[in-house]
Amino acid sequence: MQIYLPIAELPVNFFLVLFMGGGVGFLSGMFGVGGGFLMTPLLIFYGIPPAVAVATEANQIVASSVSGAIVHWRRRGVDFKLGLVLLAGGVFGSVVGVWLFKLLRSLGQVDLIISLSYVVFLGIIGGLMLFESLRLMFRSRGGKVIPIRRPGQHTWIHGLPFKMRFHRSKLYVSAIPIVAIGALVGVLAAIMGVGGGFIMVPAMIYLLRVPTNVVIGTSLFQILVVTALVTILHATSNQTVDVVLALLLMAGGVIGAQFGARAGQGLKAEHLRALLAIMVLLVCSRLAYNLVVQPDDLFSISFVAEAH
Amino acid sequence: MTWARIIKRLQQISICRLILLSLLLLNWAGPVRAESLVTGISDNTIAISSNFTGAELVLFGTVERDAQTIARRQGYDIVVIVRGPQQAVTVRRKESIVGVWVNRQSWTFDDAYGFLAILSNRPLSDIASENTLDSFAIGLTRQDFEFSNGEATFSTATRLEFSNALLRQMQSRELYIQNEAGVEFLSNALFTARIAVPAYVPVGGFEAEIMLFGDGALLSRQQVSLEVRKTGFEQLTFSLATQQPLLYGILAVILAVVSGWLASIMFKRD
Repeated sequence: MQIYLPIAELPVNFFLVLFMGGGVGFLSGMFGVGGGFLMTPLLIFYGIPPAVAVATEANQIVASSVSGAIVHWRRRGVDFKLGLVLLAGGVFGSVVGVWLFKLLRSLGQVDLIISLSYVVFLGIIGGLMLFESLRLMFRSRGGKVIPIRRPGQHTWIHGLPFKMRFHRSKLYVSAIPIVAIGALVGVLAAIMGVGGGFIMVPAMIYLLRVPTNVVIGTSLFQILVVTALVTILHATSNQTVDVVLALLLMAGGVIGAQFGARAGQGLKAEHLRALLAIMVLLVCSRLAYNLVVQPDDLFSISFVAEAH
Repeated sequence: MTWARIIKRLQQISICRLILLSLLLLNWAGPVRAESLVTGISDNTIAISSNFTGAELVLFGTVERDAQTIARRQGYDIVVIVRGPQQAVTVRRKESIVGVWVNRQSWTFDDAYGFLAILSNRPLSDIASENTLDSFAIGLTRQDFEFSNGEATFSTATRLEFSNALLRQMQSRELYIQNEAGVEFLSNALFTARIAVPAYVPVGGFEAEIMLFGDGALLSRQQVSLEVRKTGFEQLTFSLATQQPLLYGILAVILAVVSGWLASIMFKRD
């Protein structure tokens, strides 16, 4: 069954897109990640114009982060003060990101930059995760106790000015790295159509030393607001948000996530992380392959958007 | 093919028959000079709705002639050209930079047709001379698109490369079609042409031109205009997204928040 997408201006297979949403939802439920970094490349592989894929995926992430944010908010797992400082950077980053996106689009380089950003970020994150989880697996097999990083340790981050106190996170830390992380995530959300949790969560844990019980909730809060903003900004400046596609992905994603969460409970954390890392690296290498292999036709065309 | 499509096709055919019959009757109405064309089209609008996967246009017509009309040695030839809305199209060429394929040279065609179908009953080169075909822009390679940038800096060879790339890319999307057996003569005077309109078709005003050739000369031409537009929900969504983008964006976010919230209620585990 084919369904015509009014903004992407092409028909897609209704069940296939629903299934894609479900599959990515399953994985995101299983691994506890947003799934945007898998969904956007999948949509591009399927033939959705990259600009539409990115903006529409931002819209879907709004839906998928709402339920998680509600759960963590109820458990008092959201540090709103920290979230708002992150958001200050996030707003700035997403405005810059959407502006950059529009500029790159007019230069004909947006597809390249989307792919390159994916290759770089997925490569780094996937590589680190795989390394970390393999190290943990071998250590735990050897029966050694894994040393846990203590929150009291000081790094160069703590020498920065503009310190702020965050009660719920029990932190006294400079606002500069927080705003910078927020801004980076905002730019990534606008250009890659991802929530950015895969950058923000490790950054909050390892750089800021945010306690784990507020990390997820606070980052979900930031992701929710930033992707909502990115959706509105893309809708106004690029007109690339396809609500029909977004609805299909939301429906599939919600259902898939429920099953994924259950499937994930039976697996060990480091095994989960190794699996996720392998998947991230697979998507990364597929995109990298597309960049370096000579295309069948060196020429490509794009329709210059008329001013409406 | 589904039953609905078969029934629709049958209806189309019977409507065509009806119109053809009335066209034949029209033949008797008043004197005409030499040959002229009477033509019709199956649809004046192509509506894009949620189940749109492309459409088929049927053009039909008859060659009218009176008692004074001289006999044509080679009979009649029909060329049908359907042109979609003109729009600017940028063609880019990739180059390898440190192993990565990057768009470099680009060229914008200001007024490329968004859709172009050229159909005839036999090879164009048999129908008319090269000069005649050129002067009426009959043939995909005989289009004269205007360029907006770099015309001075690019050589003729490069220009040709870029226009060929445009034709190739549009043909692979089935937006440009040249079919030298696309017009079918049902009798000496009756003809039909079927044009497949792909799902990726741009919306806007279309124009179908039907040209009658005899012994290599253009005898008569007729034009029919038609429109491709989105309807219903597709139209509503599209116009909201383009005319009220802020409202559309906010609605998209509200939709996402509500569906995410509903999901969290439906699948509440604790």
